[in-house]
Formats: sequence, structure tokens, C-alpha cells
Amino acid sequence: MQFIASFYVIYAICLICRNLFVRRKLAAPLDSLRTSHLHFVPIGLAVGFILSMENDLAAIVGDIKEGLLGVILVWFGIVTGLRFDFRRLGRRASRLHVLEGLQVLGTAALVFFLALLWRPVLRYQMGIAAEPALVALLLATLATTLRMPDRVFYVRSDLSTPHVENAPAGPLITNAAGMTLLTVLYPYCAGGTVLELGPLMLVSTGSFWALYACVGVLLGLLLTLIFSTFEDDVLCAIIATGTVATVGGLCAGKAIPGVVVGFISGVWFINTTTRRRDALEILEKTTGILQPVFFLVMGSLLVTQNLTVLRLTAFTLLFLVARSLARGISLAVAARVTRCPVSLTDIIGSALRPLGTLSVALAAQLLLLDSGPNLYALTAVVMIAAAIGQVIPLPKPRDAVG
Amino acid sequence: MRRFLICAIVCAVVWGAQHHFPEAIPPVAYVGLMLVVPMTLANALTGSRVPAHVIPLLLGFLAGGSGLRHAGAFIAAAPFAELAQAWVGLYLGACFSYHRILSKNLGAATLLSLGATSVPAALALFLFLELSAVQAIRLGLLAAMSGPIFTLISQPDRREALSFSLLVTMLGLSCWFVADLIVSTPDLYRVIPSILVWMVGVELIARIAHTVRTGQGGQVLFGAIVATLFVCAHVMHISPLFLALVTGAGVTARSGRSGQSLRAMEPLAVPLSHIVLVYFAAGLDLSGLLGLSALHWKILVIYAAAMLFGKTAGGLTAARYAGLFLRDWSQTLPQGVVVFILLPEVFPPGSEQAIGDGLTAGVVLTCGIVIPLLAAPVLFMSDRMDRRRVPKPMGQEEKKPSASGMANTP
Repeated sequence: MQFIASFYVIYAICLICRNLFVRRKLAAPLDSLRTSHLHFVPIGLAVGFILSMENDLAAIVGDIKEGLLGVILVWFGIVTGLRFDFRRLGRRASRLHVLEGLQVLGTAALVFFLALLWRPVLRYQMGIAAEPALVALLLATLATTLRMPDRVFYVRSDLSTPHVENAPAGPLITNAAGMTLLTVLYPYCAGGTVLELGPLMLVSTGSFWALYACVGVLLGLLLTLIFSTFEDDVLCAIIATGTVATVGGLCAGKAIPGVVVGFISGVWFINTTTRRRDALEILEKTTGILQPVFFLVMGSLLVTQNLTVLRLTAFTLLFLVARSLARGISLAVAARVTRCPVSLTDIIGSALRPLGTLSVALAAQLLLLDSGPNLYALTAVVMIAAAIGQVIPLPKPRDAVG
Repeated sequence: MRRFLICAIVCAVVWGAQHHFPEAIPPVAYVGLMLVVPMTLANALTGSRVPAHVIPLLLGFLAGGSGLRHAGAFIAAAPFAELAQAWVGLYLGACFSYHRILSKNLGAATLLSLGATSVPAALALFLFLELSAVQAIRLGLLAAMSGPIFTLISQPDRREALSFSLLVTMLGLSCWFVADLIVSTPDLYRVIPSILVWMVGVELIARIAHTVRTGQGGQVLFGAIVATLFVCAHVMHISPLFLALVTGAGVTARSGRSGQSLRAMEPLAVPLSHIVLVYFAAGLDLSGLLGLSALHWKILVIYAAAMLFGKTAGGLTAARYAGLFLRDWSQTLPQGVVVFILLPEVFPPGSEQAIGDGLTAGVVLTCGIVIPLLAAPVLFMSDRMDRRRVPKPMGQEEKKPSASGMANTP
């Protein structure tokens, strides 16, 4: 009875908070946290804490959470891949793409080398004993990623969505470029792993690339087929989700990075489908459902871990400072190289852009790859960094509305 | 053709994967398979008049027999199937319309249908086959229940059919559980705290469902409610389907508007029903049919005959007093999920486990597949006759057949 009553208490608290939210307008930082769905993390923490009291049930729910995580990661990869719609990108000035690409490259390079320098901190203070290059690559990639859709709030103003199509360093392809970097470099940094796939034994980097590409293209092909076969939107969404569940499950089972596979399939799908607009709308709606579930799952996974808050906070601040500096410096250098006019406000604004769902997903991918102990600490760091990033106001550019 | 290609690719991927590393397949891969293949095939066979619920059942039997499922990994998919049951149960419970029952004499027709099926079945099993009284009554009640999940899949737009099927099943279930409670629980007052906790839960869900505004937020909220029901069902050791069914009905009784909000679960209810059916059917051992003795074949025949004739009598009564069409009341004939869950309780685990499996397979094959397939042409003919009986609007003359003997098509 106490167990069930604990759930009732959570529901009652959520109901009260929801009623307060309806009656009073939230302050911009809190609204920013709400729209990023990070408020589901504490709910997940509470649920995870209650579930941990019943061992049998915790084991059953643990399997469900792991399965869901595998599917959701592939889904987030697909959604990121959809950003690489070549027709859409062609409408923007190419030098802006180059500027954004160079910023991503510079940020990733700087954070990668910093993360390699932090190796003693990661190993002895945080207890993360995974492959250093892999951790560095994931930290570098997630440092380049941003919250999508891009919602920011400027000093003394409400939450808004800036126009990114023609803005310098607007985050149009940032996440996709970061994911491309991860896709290319992952097999190099994953270490000396051997993958048995039936009669095949994959050991070389080329064979890993081939495997990810094949699985990604297969999923993309299936999605294209589904969207060209079924006209009903709901049916499309459900069958697409089922297909992603199958492929995501298999990826999680064989320690294949689902987010990379999803990214490849997303790029394939968006550039081959004839129902581009419908597909984007349908996938966007499903993503809106999966994001809260993802944060709930992440919260409930973290609660059972023995994490030291002080060390986590310290490393989070270190990571945030390094990321901001890397983003700012790389944008300034990229602007100089491409001769794009970028003001100091733009540079500061770009440096302070918050991490998003994809960033947390990349950290969560390490959990499924099972690369080493205490990886939950890294995930917690990224989630705290994302939360801090959401509540920092950006300097208002001259042409910003609101 | 493309639909079959999608199914073939997904099946080949799972088959290939489990062929080489069966122990590494997470259950979620099977969940995807159980969602994609039946939905795609059901969509492909839309115009074929084949009842849609037959497809997941057949696919489940095929998957179980062909080795497409790896036993260990498939058992691990049980929590997902239970979550799906909770979702479907909550939606079906929310569809329980009290106004429709009270206004259309459905209650009286339901009682007649239940009595006309369960009493003869129980008497025949008790007198002729010398089963124990408890087993005979349980089998009789089970024969009287229906398959609302089948109706949800096959006739999603027939509200009357769903209401009648739901009412018959819920009344049968209520009788089953009340009898079970009286027989097995010596101190009935111990149930009171559980009922109070359930009522508080219903109140909370009604209030939460009241707040649903957006589609996406609503689905997340429903998911959270379903997950809570799943957890509660595990703690209380009861079927998540039944707990969710009763809770949905309770929420609708508490507040009509909250029940209306819960009906927004419909888009996912049908696909998840497919998962439930495929899961149950794939877990069934059809070879148990071969191990049945003459006595058990007699049980099967009496069960199917009582079900067919009793429900037909009840359906005809419903047609007479509640104005139900043949297509509506015939939806009480097939039954499946309740058989999967409750029949093993009639023949408890132990020495009769294989017999229970064989009987379950026999009942599902007969009442879930054969009878609906046989009834499909009858329903088709009845529909055609009903359409001809509809009077034509004034001034519209009937077209004469052409000289070649072919009817003019509009």
C-alpha cells in the first residue's frame, strides 16, 4: 500500500504544480527549462527512487528502460539526420555553412584535446575508466551540439525562437555536423573492439563503417518505403516507430551506436522521400512524445547510482567553461577565415547556447555501449550542464525581436 | 507489394539476428516486429473482408511454430506486452458508456446472453463430463465472455458492438472475480483497503485526465498512467488488463469528461492490441492440441457449442430488445484474450499444464479464428441484404440490368 501511495503523492504534486503553472506565468528561465523537458528528470528521479524499493519490479522496469533508451537514441539520431536536407541547405549562403562547419570542427577539436588532458580527473576523481579517446570524442561531439528547436531567451525578455536561416553561425546544421564528426571518428576512437556478426568477424575500422552505413541505409530505406506506402499519418508514425524499435533493439543488443545508425538513416530518408513535409511533421510529433519519456528514463536510471554531487558540479562547471570558450574562439576564428561579419554579441551568444536533448542522448549512448564503469556520472554531468545552460540569458543582438 | 516487402525485410532482419546471436536480442526488437508486421498486413488486407483480429493471431501462431521467436528473448518481452494490455484495457474501460447501456436495454440483453451461454455450458460440463462444480461454473462463465479487443481491431467504428461486447465481458469478469473472492478469501473485509486505494487512484486519474489539453502531452500522461497501472498490477498480483479495464470504467463513471479525455488513447490502442494478440498467440504451444484426451475434446466441443448457441440466442434477444444489428451482436462471438488469461486458471499449473495449453489453443483456434472466418461471409451477405432493404429516395428509379445480363454499375 505504501508503495502505491508513493506514486499517488507524485501524481498529486504534479497536479498541484500543473495548476500553479496554468494560473501564473513562469519566469523565462523556468519556462526555458520546461520547454526543454528537463523538468521530467526530477519526476524520473522520484519514480526511480520508489521503484528501487521493490527489487523484482526494479529488475523488470530496468529491462523496459534499457529497451526504450535504445529505441529513443535511434530516433534522436534520425531527427538529427533530417537536418541534412540538401535541398533546404542549398537555399542558404554557402559561406554561412562553412562558418558553422568550421565552428563545429574547432569546438570539437579543442574540447577533444581538453578532454584528453582531463583524463586523470575523469579516471581518478569521477571514476570513469572507459576508453579515453571514446569519452573525449563523445564529450567533443556533445559540446558542439545545441538545443533543437532553438529556443533562447535574451536578457530581460521572454523565451523566443530566433530566425536561423540567414543568421551568421545560426544553428542550422550544427547538430548534424557534430553527428557527422561522430559518425566518421567513432570507429577510430572506440578502441580495439571486435564485433561478431554471425559468420563475420568485424575488426577493422572500414568494416565498422560499412556495418553502420548498411544498417543506417536499411533503416532509411524502410522509412522511405513506409512513408510512400501508407497515407494515414498515424499509421505511418506507428509503423515507423515499430521499425525503429526493431532496429534500435538490435543495435542495443550488439553494442552498435544507435544514434549514429539513426543519423545515417535520417539523412538517407529526408533526401529520398517524396513526402518530406508530412514526414517532418509526423516525426516531429512523435519526437515531442519521446523527449519527455527519455528524460523520465534518464532520471530514473540516475537515481540508483552512487554519485557525488560536489564532484559532478565541479566537473560540470569545468566542462561548461571549456565548451563556451571553445565555441567562442572557434567562431571568432571561423569568422575571420570566411570573412563573415560577426559581432562580439554574436560570439558571446553562440558560446552560451545551451546543450540540448541530443547532447544528453550522446552521453546516454555510452551507457548502452557499455564501455566502462561509472558512465552514469558523465551522463549526470551533461544533464546538469544542459540544465544550467537553459537558465543563462543570452546577450540581446541588435536585430533580435522581443 | 510494398507492404509485404516491409514485412519481409523486418522479419528477415530479426530472423537473421536471432539466428546468429539469439541471447543478445533485446525484447524491444520483438515488440517492433509484433507492431509492424500485423499492422502492415492488416492494412494490406483491408478490403478482403477477413476479420482484422485474425491476422495477429495467425501471425502469432506462425511465429511460434516457425521459430521466428527465440523463447528466452520472447519471454523477456512480457513486460512490454503487459504495458500494451494496460493501455488497451484503460481505453476499453473508458469506452464503457453507461448512457448507452441504460438507454438501449443493453443491460437486459447482456444478462440474457450471459445466462443463455454460461448456465447450459456449466450444466453440461458438470452433468455429462463430471467436472468439478467450480471448474464447470468457471468454464461456463468463460464461454459467456466475449472479445472486446477483437471488436476494437475489426470494427473500430461500431460503438454499439463495442459496448455490447464490453458489457458481456465485464459482467462475466465481475461474476468470475466475485465468485473467486468469496471462495478463496476467508475474510472479505481485508479487501476493503485495496478497494479504497483503487478508488483514490480513480479519483486521481480522473482529475489528471481532466487536465489534458494537447495531443502530445496527453499521450505522455496516458503513458505515465498506464505505467503506474502496470506497476500496481504487479504489486497486487493481478492482470494489468483487468485492472486497467476496471479503472477505465471507474474513471468514466466518476467523470464523463475525464472518460472522454481517456478516449484520446484510441490511436495507439489498436496497434497495441495487435501486440497483445501476437504475444499471447506466439506464446501458445499448438502441439498441446495433439496431447488432448477424448474427455478434453468433449470439453472443447461442449464449450464451443454452448458459446455459439448461447451467444446467438443472446444476440437475437439484443437485436429484438436493444435494436442491435447482426454485425453488432455477432461481435460477442469471438473470444481470445480472456481465454489466454483465464483458462489456465481453470486448469491450474501442475499436472494439467499441457492440457490447459492444448485446450487454450483449441478454444482460441475455434472461437477466435474459425468462427469469425465462417461468420465473415454471413455478415457480408447480411450487409448486402440490409443495403437492398433500405428504401430508395423518391424520384430515383431502379436501373434495369443491361442486355448482357451484367448489372449496371454506378
